Amino acid sequence: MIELKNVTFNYSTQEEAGIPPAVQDISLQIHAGETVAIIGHNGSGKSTLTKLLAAILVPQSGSILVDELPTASLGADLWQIRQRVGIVFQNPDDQLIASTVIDEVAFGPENLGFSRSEIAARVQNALQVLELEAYAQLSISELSVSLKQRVAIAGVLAMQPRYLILDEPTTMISGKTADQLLKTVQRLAHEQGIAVIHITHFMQEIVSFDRVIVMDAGRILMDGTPNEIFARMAELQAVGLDVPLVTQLGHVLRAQGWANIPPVVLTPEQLLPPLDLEQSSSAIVVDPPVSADFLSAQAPVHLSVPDPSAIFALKEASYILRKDTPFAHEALRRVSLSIRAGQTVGLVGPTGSGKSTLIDVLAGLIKPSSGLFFFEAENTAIKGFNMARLRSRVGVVFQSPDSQIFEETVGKDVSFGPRQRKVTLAESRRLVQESLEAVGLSYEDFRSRYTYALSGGEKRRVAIAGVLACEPKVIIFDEPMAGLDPRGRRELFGLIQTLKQSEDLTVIYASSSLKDVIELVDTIHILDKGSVLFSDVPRQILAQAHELHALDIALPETVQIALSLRSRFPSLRTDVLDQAELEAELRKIHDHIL
Amino acid sequence: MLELSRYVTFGQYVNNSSALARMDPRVKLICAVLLIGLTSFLSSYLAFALCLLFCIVLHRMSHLSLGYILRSLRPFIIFLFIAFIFQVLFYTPAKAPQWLWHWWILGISQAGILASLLTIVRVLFLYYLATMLSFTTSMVDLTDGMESLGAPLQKIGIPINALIMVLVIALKFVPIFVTEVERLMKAQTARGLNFDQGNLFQRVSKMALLLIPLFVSGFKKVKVLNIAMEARCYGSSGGWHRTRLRAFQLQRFDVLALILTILVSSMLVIVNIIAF
Repeated sequence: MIELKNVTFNYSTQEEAGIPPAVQDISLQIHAGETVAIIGHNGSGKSTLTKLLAAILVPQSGSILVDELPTASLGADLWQIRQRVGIVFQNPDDQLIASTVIDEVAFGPENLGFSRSEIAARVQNALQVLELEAYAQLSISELSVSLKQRVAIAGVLAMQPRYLILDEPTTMISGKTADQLLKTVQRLAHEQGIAVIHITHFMQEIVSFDRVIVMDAGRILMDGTPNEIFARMAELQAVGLDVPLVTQLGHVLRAQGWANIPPVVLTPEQLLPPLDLEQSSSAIVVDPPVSADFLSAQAPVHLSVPDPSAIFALKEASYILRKDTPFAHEALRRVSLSIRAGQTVGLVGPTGSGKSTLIDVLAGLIKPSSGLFFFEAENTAIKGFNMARLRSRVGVVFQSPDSQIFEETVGKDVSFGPRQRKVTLAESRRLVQESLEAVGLSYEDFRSRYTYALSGGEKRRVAIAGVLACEPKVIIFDEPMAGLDPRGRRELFGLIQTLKQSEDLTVIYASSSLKDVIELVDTIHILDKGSVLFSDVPRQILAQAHELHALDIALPETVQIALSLRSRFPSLRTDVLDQAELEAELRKIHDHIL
Repeated sequence: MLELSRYVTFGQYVNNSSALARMDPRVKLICAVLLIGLTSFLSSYLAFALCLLFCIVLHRMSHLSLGYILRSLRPFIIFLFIAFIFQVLFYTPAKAPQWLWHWWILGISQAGILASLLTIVRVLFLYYLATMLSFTTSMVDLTDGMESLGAPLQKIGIPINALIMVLVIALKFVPIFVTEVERLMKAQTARGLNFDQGNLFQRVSKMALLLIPLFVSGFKKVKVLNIAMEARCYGSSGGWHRTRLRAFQLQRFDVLALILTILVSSMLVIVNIIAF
């Protein structure tokens, strides 16, 4: 058992600045075999709490006991605690030490000084639990992010911990792989009695956990079962959190008088009553299901044929990463697509599907190894094509804001683009002011702020302002929502939607998840292994939800709900764009059953 | 264009299961040190010609493309060239000089050209051997080999294991930093900075723009890694008594390779002495 008694912790720099403690007067107990989820908006003290549990930080007041051992102890006791409490961080690249999988997993036991046979047994066991045996000898740099994350967990597991802390492990992975990862850790809790402490921003991940702790401003706001926590919808929203969509939906439908729904709905199955055997399945067919014929008739969409008059047109474009080295890899394979000015386009595919390479090509940062790339009907491969002009027209908001903010202050960073163009001071000032205001940051307030002291959401806004200040015709977002809490995601979504309104701006949104994309864009290109699989309008894309799920693309919650209910109600459509449409669909079925 | 990882080949291991890649790292290290020492000792063209033959055999065994190995040399060629010019110009022959051209303290002599060429050849061999070692040896093997060879030093109290861990981490960060620089360069290019333009001074000042964000992200990464290592009990049990999962086993090939290398080295030393 881990026991916290009145724990308070403050970072020394924050204490000087008069900022309240990161963790304030927390008391709680975590028992063996329990699965605990910790939620809270960015900066609510979750990460600090986990570092306290793992004895990486020591509380300034109060005490933490791990199996009776205080974390403030030194020497052998401290190492004993670290052995018992394993921690996995957000970004696997930051925590993997060795260069091959097997050495990485062995790192912990090697530090503990076990015999060779003991290390081998522990490594073998950890690899087996996380189904990594086939990858044992591979070099870590060759693995995908989700595999790296599994290796990181295996490395901790080889220490045979009693408590496993996961600090936002699903930030960098999505869809099916994230689900599998969570299933694995929950299995660990149930089979091996390891307590799992999982920090996340995704509410639907935690409905099957034993316990949910909600943090706000360094304190515990709520502590209970998912059922109890998600019943308090209004309070959660007040602290910038949310309930799973299915819970929200249950709430709405119950208010409309659906009697069979439990007060707090956690799974899609609870929305509709189970079918009685007397009711034959044919009786509930409301609409003819979207037939395969219908789909294939729609399939050869003309969107995929490059239209030379479009702002971007790719014709059989390929790109080989690290060409002429033993590590050469074809990141784009004969991609043909076109994007018209003023369109809002989604590029969706699992990690490693070539989205980022495609963005680099569109932004003029790399040239296709073969095939053609037209920008405003001009072939970019011809001599004399002005690449600088293309780059000045196309702005990119990269995945991590940290790698695109390079100046000390916000004002200086946003003016980076205008300064490169050597505009007048007054003009530059005007651009900075307009761009900052466009992203909802006050010019007077932010222009002299230090960039490193910004919050995650603010950084992302500054990064967008920096791109807007270049006055682009096209703006490309690469996975903009990664790492944001529900409030941050809502705000950024609103911002992108506003940008989309401006007439002559073309918006391209790349993501491994269809969530958000579906409500923003008018065309979606689905990518996998470097090729465009199909291109269509959002509704048609969603009709193929099942295939997308198999590709490891995360689906919107509405579609997930529809998809999981479909096994019982085959007539249910999966191409529901928003909550209202799903409600209407459910209502149709509900009316039929009753 | 903006793809650094293609050009930075430093510290890259190519796992192509060639005979060289499979060799025992301890033996490989000893051979490499022997050969590298040898190239700094050799001073006759004949010996280097024989050395080249040996390297060709080595190269065949590695199954690597020569172009790939030489590519990473490209940025240094200009430096080598400048060094060569300087050495020729400032060369002072021991005996009465036979100048081909002479002015003030600068001069070109046949002896000078020969001696300077020899230096370049020596550097090229050195570069080739070191690159070969890094391309055919994974970092784990390399560091395990060093640790194993350095074990006697550990016994007399030199913290060789800790030093090697420092090396492991430094090498681990090379590809990560390359990716990071690439990312920053892309972000700056996308906002209108042109790295391909301007004179040398302008280019260098543009690179300086990368430094601060690179250091910031570097320190952050090191901090997280440090926590991750401590959380997994690195540095526990008082000293640095780590045990290892891996065990080395000398194969027949390793013994043969070692004997061959020693033979070739002594032969070259003899040739070198006779040639003088």
